[in-house]
Amino acid sequence: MPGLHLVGLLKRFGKTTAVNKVNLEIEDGEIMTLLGPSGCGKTTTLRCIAGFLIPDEGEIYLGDQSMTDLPPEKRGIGFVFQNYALWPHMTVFDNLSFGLRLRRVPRSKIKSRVDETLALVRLSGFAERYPRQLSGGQQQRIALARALVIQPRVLLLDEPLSNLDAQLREEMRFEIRELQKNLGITAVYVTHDQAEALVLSDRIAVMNNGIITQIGTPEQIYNQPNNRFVAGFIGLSSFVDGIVTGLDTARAYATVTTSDEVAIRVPAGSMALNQEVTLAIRPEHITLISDTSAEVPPDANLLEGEVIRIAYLGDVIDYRIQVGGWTLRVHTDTDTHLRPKDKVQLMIPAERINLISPDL
Amino acid sequence: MSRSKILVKAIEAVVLVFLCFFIFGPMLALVLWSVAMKWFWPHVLPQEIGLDYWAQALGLQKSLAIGAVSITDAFQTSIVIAVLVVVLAMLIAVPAGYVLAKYRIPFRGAILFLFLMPQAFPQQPVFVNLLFSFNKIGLTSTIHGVVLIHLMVSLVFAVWISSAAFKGIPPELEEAARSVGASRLRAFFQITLPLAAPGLLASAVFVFLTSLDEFTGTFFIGLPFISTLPMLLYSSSGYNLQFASVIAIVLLIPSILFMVIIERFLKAEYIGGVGV
Ligand SMILES: Nc1ncnc2c1ncn2[C@@H]1O[C@H](COP(=O)(O)OP(=O)(O)OP(=O)(O)O)[C@@H](O)[C@H]1O
Ligand SMILES: [Mg+2]
Repeated sequence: MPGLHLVGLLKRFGKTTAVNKVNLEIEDGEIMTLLGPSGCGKTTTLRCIAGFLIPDEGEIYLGDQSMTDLPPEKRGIGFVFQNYALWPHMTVFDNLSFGLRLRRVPRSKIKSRVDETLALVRLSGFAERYPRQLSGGQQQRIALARALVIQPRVLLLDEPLSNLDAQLREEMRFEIRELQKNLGITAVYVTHDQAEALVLSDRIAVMNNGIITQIGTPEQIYNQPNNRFVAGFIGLSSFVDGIVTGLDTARAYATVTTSDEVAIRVPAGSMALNQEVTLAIRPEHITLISDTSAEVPPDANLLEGEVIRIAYLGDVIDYRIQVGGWTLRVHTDTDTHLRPKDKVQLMIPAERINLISPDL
Repeated sequence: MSRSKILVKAIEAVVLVFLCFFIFGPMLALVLWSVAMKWFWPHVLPQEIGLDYWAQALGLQKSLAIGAVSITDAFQTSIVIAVLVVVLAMLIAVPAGYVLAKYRIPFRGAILFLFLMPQAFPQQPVFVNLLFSFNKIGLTSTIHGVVLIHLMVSLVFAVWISSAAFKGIPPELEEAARSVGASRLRAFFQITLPLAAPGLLASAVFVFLTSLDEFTGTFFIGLPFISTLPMLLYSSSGYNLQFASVIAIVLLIPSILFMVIIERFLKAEYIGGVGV
């Protein structure tokens, strides 16, 4: 199966540019997630790939074949809709066999293909039911089965799990990924749920305002966000602006000084002296030390702060800590018992701090 | 049973009795009149009953009252016209309703306005005007002319109802069909149309009943040669209440029949899932 290739895809609705020059290369057998906030253009991108929308600019390739001018029925793409879109006047069997009959698959083969696919989504024996006789989760699987039974070249899924309850949603993430891997099908998955994206993707393309701001594996996206939007949208990050005031090339560290004269040691990367940068720090990468005699690794930053807000989240405690003129969010285990106005010392390992350019 | 519940039940009963009175009271009077051979004031019930008027109306017995025009003829004319009107109206209303529901077409307002035009003026002057223009092209006193008039009266509602029927169907259903290999046309005929069928049927029934009942337009354009049931009802109601009652009952029959069909159809298995 060939990979999917979007080149300069652009789609406008009146004055809004829903998708703005998107380039994306999805490899053969890969599951790529489009992740982004509501209205960022995920669905529009997916609908362009499916052929339901005609892009204003750009090309869509499947392998070497340009699909830009093909109608949806000629693309061989399976689509799973957010609201399932099962045909209410047909049984599960008819929903699945519809596409096969159009392909003139012989009657005897239709039966076995439908049965196989139902087994794949673990709903054998549901063939004679009508969609409304199924639970939401079952409808979801049938929608998946209907898209898969035609053996599409690409599978597109638009927030397929958003109508399910939390537990089922979590289960289905694994199931979808497993299915996709077993079939080896190229897939594009749309969601605004970061946990979903992290669990089931080979790679994630983070979208904002019709633009892809970063593409990478879940680990890369989470650990090395390269812009402020990604750092804030996937997981939590606190941001600190500063200027590079010192470079220690030998040990590959740089010193960034904030506007209130706090010096922070960070990995040097490709920074130049006097460059403006933004630091992104994850709450779980900061340690609170109340005992000054605690052992501190040599590369770590030690900062003074004051607790300003506390939120108990069950698994962690979420502190907001004022350091100079800015605040940091810190997650600790639930054994710490700090109170507002308490003075604390924060330890941040230099290599845990992400540098992002401030303009993005 | 609590006191408030009793009160509710009592109110329900009163409302029901009133409804029955208003709906079935006149119907009962119609039935009584249609079989009354002799019924003079101050008698509460007819003094003499018989089926003579029914027999006359149906042409089984020579009619003294109306002579040449029998109910059967008028009934036939009415039905032929109504069926033609339904077929033509649906041929226009289904595609028009679909397009209006699905696409943001330019001049949408203007198009709806155009359909609404005939309704926007008092009917009589419009029909009188049409009488002149129809006269020029020889459409007066013909079935075609009357069909056109009925179409004009009912089309806006037909388009409106079928557009609503299509609007109720999520566009994803058709897209899903496209993605598994159905052409635009096939997706429409196999997915959208069956799902819109109840609404379209309602639209067709509405057109049928409107045509069956239409009076003013038929009066201006159809007379003297085209005589539908409402014409006959009108011309006989002045001096022969029995005959008029027979016609009124005959006019009611298709309506009731259609109500039953619609009821049946709207309860069909799959309708429950529409709009999912
Ligand atoms: N048919 C349309 N007509 C006009 N504007 C549209 C249309 N479809 C989408 N848009 C606009 O395009 C932008 C992107 O919409 P899109 O549906 O792709 O967002 P999304 O990322 O899928 O969001 P969500 O997570 O809420 O589903 C939005 O600003 C939306 O208002
Ligand atoms: Mg969407």
